[in-house]
Amino acid sequence: MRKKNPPAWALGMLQFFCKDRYLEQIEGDLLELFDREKSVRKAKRKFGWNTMRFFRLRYLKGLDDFEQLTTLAMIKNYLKIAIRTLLKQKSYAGINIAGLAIGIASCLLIFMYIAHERSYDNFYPDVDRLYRVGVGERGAYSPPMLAKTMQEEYSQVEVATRLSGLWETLFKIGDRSFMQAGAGFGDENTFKVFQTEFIHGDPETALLQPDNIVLTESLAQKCFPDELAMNKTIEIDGEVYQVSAIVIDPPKNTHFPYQYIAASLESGHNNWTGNSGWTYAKIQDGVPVEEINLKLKELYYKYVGPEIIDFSGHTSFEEFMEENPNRYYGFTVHPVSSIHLYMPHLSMGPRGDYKNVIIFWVITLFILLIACVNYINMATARSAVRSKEVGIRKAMGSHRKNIIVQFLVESMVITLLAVLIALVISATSIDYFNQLTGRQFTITDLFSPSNILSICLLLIVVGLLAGVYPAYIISGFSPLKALRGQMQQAGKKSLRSWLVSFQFAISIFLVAATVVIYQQVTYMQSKKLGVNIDQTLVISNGNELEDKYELFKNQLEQISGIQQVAKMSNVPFSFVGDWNYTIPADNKREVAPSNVFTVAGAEKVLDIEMVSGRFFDKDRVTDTSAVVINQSLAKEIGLENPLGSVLSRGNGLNFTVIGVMKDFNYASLKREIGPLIYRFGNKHGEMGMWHQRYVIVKVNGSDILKTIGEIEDLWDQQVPNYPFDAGFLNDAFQRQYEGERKFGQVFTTFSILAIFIAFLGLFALTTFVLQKRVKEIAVRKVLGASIPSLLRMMLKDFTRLVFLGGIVGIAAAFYWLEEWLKGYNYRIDLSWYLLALPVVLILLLTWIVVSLKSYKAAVANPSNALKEE
Amino acid sequence: MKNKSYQLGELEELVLMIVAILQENAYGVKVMDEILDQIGRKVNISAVHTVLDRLEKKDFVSSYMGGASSERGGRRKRLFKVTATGSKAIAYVHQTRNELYDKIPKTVLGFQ
Repeated sequence: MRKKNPPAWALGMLQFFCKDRYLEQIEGDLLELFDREKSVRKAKRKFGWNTMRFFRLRYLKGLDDFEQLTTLAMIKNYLKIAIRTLLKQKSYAGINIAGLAIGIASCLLIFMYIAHERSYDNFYPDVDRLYRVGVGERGAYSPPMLAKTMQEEYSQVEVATRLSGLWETLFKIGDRSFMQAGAGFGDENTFKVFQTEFIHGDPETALLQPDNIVLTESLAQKCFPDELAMNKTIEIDGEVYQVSAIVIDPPKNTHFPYQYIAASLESGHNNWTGNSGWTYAKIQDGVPVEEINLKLKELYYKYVGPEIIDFSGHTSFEEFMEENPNRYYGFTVHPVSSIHLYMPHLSMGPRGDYKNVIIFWVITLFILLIACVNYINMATARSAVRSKEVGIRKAMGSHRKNIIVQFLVESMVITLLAVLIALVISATSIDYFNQLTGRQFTITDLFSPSNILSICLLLIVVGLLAGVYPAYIISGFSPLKALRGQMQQAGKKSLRSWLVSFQFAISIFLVAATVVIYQQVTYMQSKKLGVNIDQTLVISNGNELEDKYELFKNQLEQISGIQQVAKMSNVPFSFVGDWNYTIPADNKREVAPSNVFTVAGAEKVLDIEMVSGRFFDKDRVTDTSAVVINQSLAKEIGLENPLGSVLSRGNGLNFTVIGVMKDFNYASLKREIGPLIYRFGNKHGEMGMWHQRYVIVKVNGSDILKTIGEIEDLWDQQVPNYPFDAGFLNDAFQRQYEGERKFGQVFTTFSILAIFIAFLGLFALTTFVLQKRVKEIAVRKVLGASIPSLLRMMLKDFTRLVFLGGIVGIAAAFYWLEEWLKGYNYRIDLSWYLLALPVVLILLLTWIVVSLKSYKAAVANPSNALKEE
Repeated sequence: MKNKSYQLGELEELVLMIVAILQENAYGVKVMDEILDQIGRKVNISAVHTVLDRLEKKDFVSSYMGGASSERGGRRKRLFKVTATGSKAIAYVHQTRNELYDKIPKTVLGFQ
């Protein structure tokens, strides 16, 4: 008996990797050395070490050590047979490869898309410690004082920064001027939170001076081609800045795609209630989100509370909260890495949606499954052809295991070919994919290391998924029956039927979804809004007109095609801020309508209908303290006749309601019409010149292009240093549904692909069924069956499958679409015919495919089929 | 006589000579111990095995499995002995070294 035993792991490892030829002598020597050592611990340690030292190429097992040499030869044989079968049945192989290639190509593109969507902002160092801070639970904007205060009062905040953006601004360099997008304004901490690589300049001092500006590399190149941009001056919207640093361009996958950051102008704003910028913070490692939120809540109570009651007139903040209980009082932090997918409304760049990512993923998986089902169906349906081969192999001594391997090799070969074609398909369709997703992928993204890994993974998974069942079934053939000449049909017919109806179900689901999404988009686009937005031209940057607005307006009204001109601070379908008002007559209850400044004439441009009272009148001086509200706000005020009631902004700013407008949609139709207030706009109001940010013009001439040209000439006369920028309100309205349209496009694409693959499979399956039933059809015909009755017989089976799939597909579609439509306040109702339509479509397609194939068999001379036996 | 096939690595040369010294009793651990005893050099057992294997491939040594014993966990030893080519190689190496040594001026070696 041995007194001590060497570590089992080391011996096991040696036995695993070492060639049998060397194993005994090495083990022997190792054991001898082991026994010689006095200390057991030392012996064990040495034994392990020495074992590992034998891990040399010379002792490693090679290919020939694992199995007998015949395995290699057999795999060669399998490959040869696989390629021969493939060439022998070109059309079947073609259908399989085409289907799988399309499925795999969609998978590759979607994998790339998902990887991209999930990678947003992960390139920032310490991204797991970066947070966006907002008001309430989801608010995007935050008070100007927040960043500095939280950094000062809360030691766990490493650094906090305040930003605003991203805007479009006017650049002037020498005698060149152009509009430049991607403008951010930030304080000196911006690049401490968003760390990036500096090409020139110092991150510590880059934004310290109020006239500092940091350019990205590409913008620096654009502004100062072929010279160093450092310390050069640029005039931005009239202010002069000096370039203090140049940084590398931020990558594509960021929610903050800035082109430049200028030192913030807003240092003077010291309030806690005007939420006007973004706040970001870097928090110390390991501080949980709940703790940060709790701490920030204290800040809210300490600073925001007093300012709120100052203006609302309550005696304490607690009392105010009690009366307005439906709000979250505090700030919340959101991880920067989750903004793109989970908090897209906080993003300044491309917006993602995790729901879309999941939906795309599921649909691609479905398409891949349809293609796999094709393979399974065709392989099992055609298995009879291979039964003799299997019989002979078994008679020659093949194990079932070997035959399974053979058929798996075959499915792998097909999958490999499909993958190669899929690479070509995905590379060529990348432009279309970019258009669908609104991203900018290039072919290099397609061949990123992670995507290459998924290509290999797909190869194995799809090869197994498609191949395992047929291989398992075919390998079970009895050699005796096979060699005696009895045809064996593998797999149950019922399983094939189930798989086919599964394909129908997916196709019907996708078609139903496509139809409903387009119906909803059409419905929203043609919905009566309550205002007339046709032929309404919106001229941006009206604030640049300053006091020349009246002059400009008069000039415009001279043009023959122009009926009416007015100005507004916010036009419909663009962002409108909610402003707080109190109702002094109702115990200072608070309302928060969307707040817009406008003037007399707007009601004529937009065709606003008044329910009671009147719109502004430019001849009445008292209208500066008058407001017009919509029905929704009137309802919130709660009076039967709200005319004459007073709304207060605090500090003695009181406004009298002079009219009630009929509700109209001024925002997306996803939401219901919220309360809206129209204030009289002039430059002494709370928004200054921004009250005339937009000039709205009703254009009614026959030659609209000419009219716009004339308007542009007039603008250039009045504001020579600012480019003319105008667009039609209707376009802005349509643009709101861009996302839905793209969504619809995605579904159309996927439905077409799914139907295409499924019907390829159906076509092949019909061909095969007909081949098997050709004698039956001939006998029936001889006995007097008519051609229509024969066709009916063939169609009956498939019709049943379509209905079976239809029930499942429609049920799933109904459930999901009902859920999807819940996101829209103005929505279509799901009617039976919307959902029956896809079933009818698929049924018709099925009939066409099956009849085309069957007709040939039905009209054929039965003697041809019967003469051979 | 210059023969390329007699080229030996330093450790190979050493192991070959040790095998020759041990005469039919040479196996991994023994060779390792002998190197330590004779010239006080520590060599890992895996290196010894590798060198022996290499020498066998070059046909300088031949090997056979020894009898089983209760020691070494019942594992047999692989015993090595020098082949005729191996003996020639040792002689060749010895001779070339001596020739070279003789050509070295005595003054360089530091004694008269």
